Amino acid sequence: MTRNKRLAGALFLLGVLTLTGFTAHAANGDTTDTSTGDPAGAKRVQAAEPYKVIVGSGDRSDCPDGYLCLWTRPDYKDLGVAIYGSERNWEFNMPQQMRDIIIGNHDSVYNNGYGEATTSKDAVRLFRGNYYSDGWLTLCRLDGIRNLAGGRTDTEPGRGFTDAFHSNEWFDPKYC
Amino acid sequence: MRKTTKTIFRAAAAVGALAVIPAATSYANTAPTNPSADAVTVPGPWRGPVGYLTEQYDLTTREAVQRMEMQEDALKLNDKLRTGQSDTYAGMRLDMDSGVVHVRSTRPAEARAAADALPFGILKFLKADKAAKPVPKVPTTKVAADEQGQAKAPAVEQDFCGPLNCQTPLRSGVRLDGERDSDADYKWGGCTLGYVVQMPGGPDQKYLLTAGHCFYDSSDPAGNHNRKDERTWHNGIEVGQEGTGDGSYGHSAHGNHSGDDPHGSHNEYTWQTPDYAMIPVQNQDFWFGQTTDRRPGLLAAYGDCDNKTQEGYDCQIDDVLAITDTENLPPAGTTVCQQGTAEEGKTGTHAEGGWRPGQRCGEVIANRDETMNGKLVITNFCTAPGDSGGPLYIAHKDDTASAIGILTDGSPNLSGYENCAETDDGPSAAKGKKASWYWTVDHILLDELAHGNQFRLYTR
Repeated sequence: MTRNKRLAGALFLLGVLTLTGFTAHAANGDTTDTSTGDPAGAKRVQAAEPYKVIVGSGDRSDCPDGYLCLWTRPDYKDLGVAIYGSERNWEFNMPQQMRDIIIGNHDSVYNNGYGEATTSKDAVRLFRGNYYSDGWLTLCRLDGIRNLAGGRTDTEPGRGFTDAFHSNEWFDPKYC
Repeated sequence: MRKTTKTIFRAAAAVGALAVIPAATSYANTAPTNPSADAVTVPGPWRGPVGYLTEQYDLTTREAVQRMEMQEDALKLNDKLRTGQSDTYAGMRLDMDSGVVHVRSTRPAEARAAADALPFGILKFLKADKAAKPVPKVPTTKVAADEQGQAKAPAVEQDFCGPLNCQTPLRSGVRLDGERDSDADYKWGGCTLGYVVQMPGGPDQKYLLTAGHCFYDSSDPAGNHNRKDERTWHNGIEVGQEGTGDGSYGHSAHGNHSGDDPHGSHNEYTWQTPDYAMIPVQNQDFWFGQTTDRRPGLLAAYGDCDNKTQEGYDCQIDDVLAITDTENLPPAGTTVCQQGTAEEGKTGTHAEGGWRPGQRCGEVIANRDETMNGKLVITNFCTAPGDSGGPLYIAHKDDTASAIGILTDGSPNLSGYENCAETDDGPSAAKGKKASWYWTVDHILLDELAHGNQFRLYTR
């Protein structure tokens, strides 16, 4: 599929998903419920959607709170997918429509949150391979890479991460 | 200093300035009679140095740790004498084999008095004909102490992080993959990051300090290393890009500063030429974070890089050190370490004989007169192409490190860590020996200062 065709298809998908409420609380990214119906007044964490389709305007804050976001273009632009929580096999577990958008097709990435809201696991490792394998890079919370292009073009260590990720794992960082 | 030692000092002074001064607190061999009592915990930063000392001098682990304790105190005394008695102090040499510190001064008694404040064991004060010429020191490279007056050390990181593919924050001693000749065969060159520097008070721009010949070499007949906007990567992520001369990437120096090259100068790659490059950091938010508390000035010391993986080498991290200051010219005999990323058979590194990335330790073998008045430091260990630019440092047991210099050249690499040849090039103190030599960080910073650029190490 060409990139343009993929973009058109995914935009259509995004419209459908929005109409059906799939991205119900994606607008402000609030994943908490502070309604007065809770007698204790305590915040109750809603179950976050594991994946969301997003459209990047060039501002990485388009990424909803709590999610790892990848876009198909550099500079946080065009279609993308937001991922909540650790996922050891995108190809197997990610919905087909989102796989089509992002697997093998991502140029920018941003960490906007806490993988697990009640813990300090707010940094994320992105792996080339499934099951957390084949080398990774780490993104601390609120860190992004505007352009994943490049890296070594041979087979030596240091090859790039463009279009390369297949799994992600949140963890408690030492130096973030 | 204990009273008994003072008494001995006085007695020694009566018989001459060359007296050996034993003291109540000794770093000399104190092997316990019970072999099991030799068990001693080696601080993480000292695993490499202690490994070197035990092998080189056939010391027990306990003795080697005691020698490192002696070195810590000797370096304090060295600083004290350099600053307080610069007119009379002529340098010192650490004899790690016998555990003796030789102090040279035109006035040994005064040097001896300065040692009173330190818990010294065995000192040997020698009469010198003249004091050493003072070496300029960059005044702004010392890290500011915290509110308690103590330099903060990082927690030990146990997370995997190989020198070829480490994670954020950017650390000294990791691989720099540099683009070269992209208009031709598009080769990759491998070098090692020495240190990160910045200009205090200026824009929040950081720079990679590494060897100049890694990026520019006008003497290369093939015209390699000559592109001006080449990018540098670590772990597949862009980390630096040379300036193009139009200011688009900021300052990008290559030492020497001669000629009209907008990048600073040519680099003829001789041992007399200041051999460094300062490359503006790209993806700065990623590598160092958006705040200043991302543990700047770190150096992960790697040992035992034996288990090769697809992504490089699975190395044990001996410790993560916080770089806190510079040591211009450590005394001869000082146990020091260097980290490099050369590896056998990898593009751009040209190392042979199973060479692996990681930390190597040895000792300083030159005195000030043999090192262009402190501009160079010469060590007794082998290095290989790909290690260039890597940091030379003194590891302290409190998880800090003093930056000394960056690797420029060394003995020809033949096969493996111990099998480099005696060099017939380089400084006089290196000729005929297995040796490597380094430009001192202080000299590099002074060289930049002379051209109006007030850099300092990025430490916190």
